Amino acid sequence: MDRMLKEKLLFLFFRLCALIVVATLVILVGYVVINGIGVISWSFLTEFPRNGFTAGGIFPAIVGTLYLISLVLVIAVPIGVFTAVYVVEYADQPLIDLVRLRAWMHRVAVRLHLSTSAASTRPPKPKKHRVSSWMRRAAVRLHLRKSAEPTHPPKPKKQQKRASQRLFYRILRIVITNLAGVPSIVYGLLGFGMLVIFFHLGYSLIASAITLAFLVLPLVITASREAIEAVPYSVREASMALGATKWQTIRSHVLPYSIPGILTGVILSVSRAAGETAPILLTGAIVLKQTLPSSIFDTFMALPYQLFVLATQYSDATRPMQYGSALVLLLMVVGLNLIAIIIRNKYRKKYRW
Amino acid sequence: MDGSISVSNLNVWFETNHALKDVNLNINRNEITAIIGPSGCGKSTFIRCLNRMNDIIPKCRVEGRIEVDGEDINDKKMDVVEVRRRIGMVFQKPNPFPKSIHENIAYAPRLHGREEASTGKGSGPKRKSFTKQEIDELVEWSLKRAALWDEVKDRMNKSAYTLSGGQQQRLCIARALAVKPEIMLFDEPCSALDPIATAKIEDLLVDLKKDYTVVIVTHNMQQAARVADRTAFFYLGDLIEFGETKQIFEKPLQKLTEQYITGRMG
Repeated sequence: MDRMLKEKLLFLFFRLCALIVVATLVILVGYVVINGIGVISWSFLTEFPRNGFTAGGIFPAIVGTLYLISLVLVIAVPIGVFTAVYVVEYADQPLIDLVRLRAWMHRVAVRLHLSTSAASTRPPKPKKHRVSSWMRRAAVRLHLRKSAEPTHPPKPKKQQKRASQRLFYRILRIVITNLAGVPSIVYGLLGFGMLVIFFHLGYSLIASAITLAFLVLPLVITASREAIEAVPYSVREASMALGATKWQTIRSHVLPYSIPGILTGVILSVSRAAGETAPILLTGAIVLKQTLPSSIFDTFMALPYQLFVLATQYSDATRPMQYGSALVLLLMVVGLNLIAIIIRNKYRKKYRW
Repeated sequence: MDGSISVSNLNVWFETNHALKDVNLNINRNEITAIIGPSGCGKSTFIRCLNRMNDIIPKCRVEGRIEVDGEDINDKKMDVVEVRRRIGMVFQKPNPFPKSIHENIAYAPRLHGREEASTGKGSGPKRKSFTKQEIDELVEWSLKRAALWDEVKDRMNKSAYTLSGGQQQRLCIARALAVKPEIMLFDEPCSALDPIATAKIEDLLVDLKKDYTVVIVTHNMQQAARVADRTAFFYLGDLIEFGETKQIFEKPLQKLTEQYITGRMG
């Protein structure tokens, strides 16, 4: 075949592929907007549903989704960001310092023991004593294990310690990557089994929020980690050379400069948390509720779940409300993302390299 | 508090690599001491020992005594933060924070606060925070001391990255001076700068030695000859020769030094 022709055909093919991507989004959004825009009105946004979702509005579902997203972010962002800080900045240190733990247990055991033996006039406290002897035994065992090791020069031991740290770091990375691949229904089951039943949280906003927080954690961690790693080493060095501690360096330089990247993770999380249905349907979302959630332990209505139920279990008379819900959900996600993007750009401008 | 440094039996390992071997060296106050040598000879490693910057490199082990005013700063019990506050450092590439010029300098003083006048040296580090005016004065003083004030006084709130490379490096010097150290360490401060900016930094170094102990690592021998009072020559982790700059460059005692100075090696 003519080379030029082949070139042109290939380009056409690539362009078609790209077009399909664009068309999907345009058709999707367009369809929702065209069908939903007529439904939206002030009363649709501020009223409770009536007559089996054929009249009234979707106010409780909007509020429920907003509550849910806020709670998810409150839970997931700090945990995610500080995990990322640990992975990048502290992972060369052990998660639990055995030597320190041993010393601490010794101190506690000695104090408990002293307090029980000194207080001989007072009635004995068997429970405390048991704790102290258990602690001491554990401490001694840790000691024994340490002295059972052959005494070797400091260097190989250090390397051994480092190897175990590296292993932990590797495990942590693998865990984070794999968490992102777990299907959302599995998270839902986890939330149901662990939070709703085992921790007695019941069907509640908080159970759903924690479940969704698990779900978005990998997004927050990955985005934060990349942002934190992108802060040049020279900046950390400069700060440390001025006498700042590691934490002061992280707080006043590393984290502020990473905010744009962290916000990218937040944007992804919001979209994900707002749209997920499976985890919340197992942990706290209900079809119809005539009041707003009164506390985080109350059940709630949410847009994606309402949409799912209306589309699968209600008559065609609810069609307008389905489109309306879809459009509101879409606008809400876009709106929240817009806020995050504006904040991100502000910080990008503030810290220009 | 005079800022003299006395290094004895200093050894540094990076894992199994013996980077500095039994270095013994005395650095006097109010002098510029230059460290020269070919790449990888340990000169940067050496200067980073002087303010414990090697601590932040995980696989590095430093042994030996480094006495500053008679106190061993390499002691594990020594407060690293305090060491770095007393011993400032300027790096190879200018590394200002991506903040305003004012913020760059105000950062460290705000962090450390000011020593209470009533607290003696022995008592705990009682520190008071600066007032806004004191910070402003300190910023101005530091910038003047680093010969940058006239160039930046009208744009203190602009990002430090709007400055030229040479100005950025002087900003980094001002930033280090704002902590009021006794000793200033320079790790190849001019290697990323053009000759005019280099000349300005060199003038500044000579000016700084009136008040500080200055140690400078350089791979530019002419620079060492121009500014340093004493020069140390390192080769493969060994301190080969240390003496008056004039003597090192005109009558080196060691054959290795002579070879390096005359450009037959390194």
